[in-house]
Amino acid sequence: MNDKAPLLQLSGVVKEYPASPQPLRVLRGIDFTLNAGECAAIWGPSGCGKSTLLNVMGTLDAPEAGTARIRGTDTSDMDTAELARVRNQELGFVFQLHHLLPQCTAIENVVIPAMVHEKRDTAQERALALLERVGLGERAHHRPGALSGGERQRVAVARALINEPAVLLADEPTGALNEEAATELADLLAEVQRERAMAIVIVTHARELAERFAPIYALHGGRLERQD
Amino acid sequence: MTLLKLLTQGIRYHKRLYLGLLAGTIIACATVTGALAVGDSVQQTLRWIAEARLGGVGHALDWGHRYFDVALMTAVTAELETTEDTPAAVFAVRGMAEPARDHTGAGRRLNRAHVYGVDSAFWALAPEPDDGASPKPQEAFVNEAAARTLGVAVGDDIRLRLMRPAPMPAEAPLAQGGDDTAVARLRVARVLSEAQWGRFSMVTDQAMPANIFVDRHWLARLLDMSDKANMLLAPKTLDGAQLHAALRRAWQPAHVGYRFREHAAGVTQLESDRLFIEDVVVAAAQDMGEARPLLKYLVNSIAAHGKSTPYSFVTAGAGPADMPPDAVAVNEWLANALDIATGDTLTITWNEPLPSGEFQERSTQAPVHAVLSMDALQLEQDLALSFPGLSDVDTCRDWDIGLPLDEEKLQDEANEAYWNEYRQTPKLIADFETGRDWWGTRFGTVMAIRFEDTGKEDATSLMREHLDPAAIGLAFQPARENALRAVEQAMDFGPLFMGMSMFLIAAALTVLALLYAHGLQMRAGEMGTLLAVGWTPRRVRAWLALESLPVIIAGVTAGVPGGVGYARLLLYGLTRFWPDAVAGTPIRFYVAATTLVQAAVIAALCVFITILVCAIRAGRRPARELLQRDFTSGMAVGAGGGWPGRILCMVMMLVVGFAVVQAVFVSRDNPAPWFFVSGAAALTMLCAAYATVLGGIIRRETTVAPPRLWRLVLTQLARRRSRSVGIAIVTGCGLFMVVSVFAMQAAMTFDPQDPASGTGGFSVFATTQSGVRGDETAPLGLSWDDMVAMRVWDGDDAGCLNLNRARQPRLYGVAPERLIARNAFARENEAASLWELLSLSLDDDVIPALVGDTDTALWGLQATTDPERGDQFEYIGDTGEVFQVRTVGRLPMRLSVFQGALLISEAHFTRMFPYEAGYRAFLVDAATPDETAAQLNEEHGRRGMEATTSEARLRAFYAVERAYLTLFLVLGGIGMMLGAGGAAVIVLRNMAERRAECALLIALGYPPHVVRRMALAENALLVVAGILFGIGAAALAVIPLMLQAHAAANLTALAIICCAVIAAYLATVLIATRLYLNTMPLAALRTE
Repeated sequence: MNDKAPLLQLSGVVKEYPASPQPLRVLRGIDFTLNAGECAAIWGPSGCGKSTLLNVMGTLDAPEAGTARIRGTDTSDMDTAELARVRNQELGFVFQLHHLLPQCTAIENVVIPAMVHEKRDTAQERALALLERVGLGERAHHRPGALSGGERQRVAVARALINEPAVLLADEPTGALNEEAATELADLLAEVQRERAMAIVIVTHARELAERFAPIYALHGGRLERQD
Repeated sequence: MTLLKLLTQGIRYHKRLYLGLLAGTIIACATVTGALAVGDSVQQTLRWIAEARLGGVGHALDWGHRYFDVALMTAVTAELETTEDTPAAVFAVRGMAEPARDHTGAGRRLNRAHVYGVDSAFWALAPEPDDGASPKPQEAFVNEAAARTLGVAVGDDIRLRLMRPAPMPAEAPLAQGGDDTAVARLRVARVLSEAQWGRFSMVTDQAMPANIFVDRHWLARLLDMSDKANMLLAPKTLDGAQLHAALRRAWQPAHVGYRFREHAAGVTQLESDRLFIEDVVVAAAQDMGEARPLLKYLVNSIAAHGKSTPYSFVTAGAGPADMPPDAVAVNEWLANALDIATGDTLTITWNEPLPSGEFQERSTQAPVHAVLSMDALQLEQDLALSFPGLSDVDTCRDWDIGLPLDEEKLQDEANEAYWNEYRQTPKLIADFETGRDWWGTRFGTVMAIRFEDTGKEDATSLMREHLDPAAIGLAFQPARENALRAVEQAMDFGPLFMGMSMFLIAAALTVLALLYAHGLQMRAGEMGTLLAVGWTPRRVRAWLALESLPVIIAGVTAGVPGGVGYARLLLYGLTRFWPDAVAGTPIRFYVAATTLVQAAVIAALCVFITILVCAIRAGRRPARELLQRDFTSGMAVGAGGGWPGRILCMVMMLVVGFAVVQAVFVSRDNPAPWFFVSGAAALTMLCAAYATVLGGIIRRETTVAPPRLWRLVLTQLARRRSRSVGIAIVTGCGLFMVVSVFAMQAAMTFDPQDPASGTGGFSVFATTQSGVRGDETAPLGLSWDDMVAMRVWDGDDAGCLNLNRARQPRLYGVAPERLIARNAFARENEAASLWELLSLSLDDDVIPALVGDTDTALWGLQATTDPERGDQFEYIGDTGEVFQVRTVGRLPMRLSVFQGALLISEAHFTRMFPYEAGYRAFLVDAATPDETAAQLNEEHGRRGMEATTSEARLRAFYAVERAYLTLFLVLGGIGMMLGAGGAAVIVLRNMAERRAECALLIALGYPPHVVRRMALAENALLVVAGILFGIGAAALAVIPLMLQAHAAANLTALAIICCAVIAAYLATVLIATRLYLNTMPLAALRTE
């Protein structure tokens, strides 16, 4: 890893999905760079490939062509364990659906990424602090089933932050929330980004949310275009 | 948050998933435990039986047909220097028993009575020695089996008919013929239980013998064998080396029937009570010093110059030292009678015994080398051997010897005068080697050995020095060790029942895998999340595996006691419903702690591996798919367009072709296993094709989308391909197994008239306790042309009725040419090549043998059958000679009337077992088999006749296989019930998963009955596919067998079974679907 290299860099990324009679090309040569502490919002209509792009950034998917680099290292050169380490240490995910483990309490869900971390001894305290930070200190021991949609998403944010990642990747984080909860979550994400000087990439179809994390990149026809 | 907490919470939260896993583990573990516990129980029962039959016996000296002096026991005891653990002498003899006529049980008969003459030393070796009371003269202790057969109790009288032991081979020339049975009336004084040593036996068999114990002294006197015995039993406290050393020090030639006679001329002559002197003794005698072997014979005639003299004694080995080979010396009397002198030529004619017991006349010519004066032959007269029935009678007309004699010639006056004056003085003497070639027989070639200048005392000690008694078979054998080894090597019922329970285990694991895989799909989001937050795939798999571990442990913990119950249930079934499977032996429950651990480990491993495979399969999907719970994209592109499935189909097609060729052209005698293989391969092929087709549907789905209901149904089947194929496999395998096993049972038919069948085309199979001599003109009242007679050596039963491993299988001595002439036990034109194997000349004097049938070779003996590489079995002949029998071939049918035995040629048999006189087994041609068998039993009861139709005998063997197949069918049926239940659970879970989908269709305006029909069609198709595959594969395996066995009539029963299975599966699945749909309101959609 090269600390002087951009945190996240995509060059000519192409991504296809199998289909008949020919594969469906979703991304058609994406170039994108994100440095430490920067924000970026990927904006576009449903089905344009935003989540696919985020998955490539987050190493959950591999491109058919082009390169995805994290701190200068090509992700295609990483093995499974290295990719897992990168996701665990460098990246934090917030999905449209919270994807909390239903059998675990809020604090346990937050701790889960830290279970593979050498700092796991202090994970419980850090998780509680994070839950308090996202306003759920009193709900720490509640299971997801007992939380509202907004609360679940805030737990997901806390989970994404537990290992102090360099970049937070949020995929339609407010997509399943009502307007009030969506605003609260957007505020929360903006605050933690500022507090931690953390890079953040938000994928959304909502223009208002995208504008809070400018610059905005519009994804259209498989190509990314910065809108200043 | 710890890993442990994460795991326990996962189990708690997904308790429905883990309840399925728990149930599957309990069933798998209980099945494995039960199967292994049955194996333990059978083996431990055999061990208990071995202990019960041997009591406190450790080593045994069993001299078979030869009898030693009881003084040997006293001498051995003295050498052992112990007063507590002393050997016991036993007089063992074959016999028959029946209740005395005045008893109400008249009409019953015990043909195979084991009669033992014993004393108090014997009872001291009993498993639970009591007061040591032994039967008094005219008293009998009978065991429960004998009492039951005879229908007698304490105080009743029985009549005992015994084979009178012959000190010399009964068929040997110069051996006395006549009545060979003795009859006695005895009062039953005790009925012995197993603990009272009622089970005593030296035969490795778990079947309860019918024993009758009498006073040894009384029995020996009754049989004119006072102070004799043929068995020494040593307590287990004495070791083999100690016993061997004591025997070596204690034995005297006189103990074992050898005697030395001194003559004033300075000659000492060694003779034997058994007429012939064993080869090893001759060799030892020649080591002792100057020894001259002698052979005596009675020739039919000696003729020259147109004159002849009948029935003359001749001697080989006592002629002048300068006599050339092939010449003879004659005595003065003969020279005068025939008017011959030195240089004349004589014609000598004598009878030579054939293996069949008949005699063939032979003759030779020899020049006269010398004429000896009668005085010169005084030594021969003085040292004449004693032949019972000859030496002790006054006139030639009273001779009773084992040679055919012409009454008219016996009345020759000159010969009578010679007998009166010179008795057995030889008229003619030949060189020993020449005489041996002429008159030597399979019974022996030496009747006496003469030592010059060696006194009786010296000869005795020299013989003790040079002859190891073990060389004549006089040795203690480790009876207990051999019995326990036979138990250790017995057929292991554990794997057998594991095999029988295989479908049950497989069904449990398949259902478990389907349920677990379904559960993992429900948890795909969890797996995706963990992968997304930086857990490695390996860590995720380990998490899933570890989460299941406590459930597996709980499952095996509950499964082990469940297995114990299952084993008890199986043992109850074996006792109550399928006793044939364990030869009627009541099996007592026993299970070793190590077996329980072993079963738990096997079950846990099976389940764990199943779980791991599911977890690996699920974890192989990318995190993105898992998070989206989209499992179709991978299928659409995966598996290289279905090539692995296609390759598997092609390979299985080849296997089907190969198996059919094997069944039709190669293994025509036993094609069932090959047809079964072809069916199993066909089933695999169909399932693989099904999986490939479903994969193809998913691939096509991406481009073609005509919105038709049937297409939606097919798509649903394809979307859950593993589930669809899994249910098809469980259903198909179940049906295939039931149909195949049923057909195998139906195919167990044979044509008793067919010479190529297991009856050999003979309609009656009969055995006797006393032998029928080959020179009888109408044996058993039948013509020789109507039967094939065989000799029998009663060894171990190597068939399905003996659970122990046979060490020395029973031997039948057969005349190959008679069976070839009848083309018996082989297909047309193949009899010669089969039976001529018995005449093969093998290296090292190994005797070729045929195994009685294919099942005996495969299971009973587990022997290779080949002239070069066949397995070898060690036997001890009647003279103590150790010899090997090699299985060079086998009768080609699966079961035959010779089940559990080896067949050797009569020539080899009579050479190795000269004391086994006469024929004791008969294959009879009879137009009315039942009547003939009944008549034989009625008319020849005194011989210990047991006649039955060959068909009935064969059916008794088939009953064992039928019992196994029925058991397999029952266990398979339980597996099928489990499979049906599992399929219903999977259907319910499937419906629960898709309730929103169904509700949506209703919300969109689909009529509820259409939605219901769609769901029913989908779930019905799940099992219909399996049913079709099962029936298709079974048809391939079964129809040829049914046609071959002419068992088409049973197709009706087969169809009923198939319909029942199909109905059970369909009903279970459809009822589950219907119930669920009936309770599914539109509210399901609102809750989504």
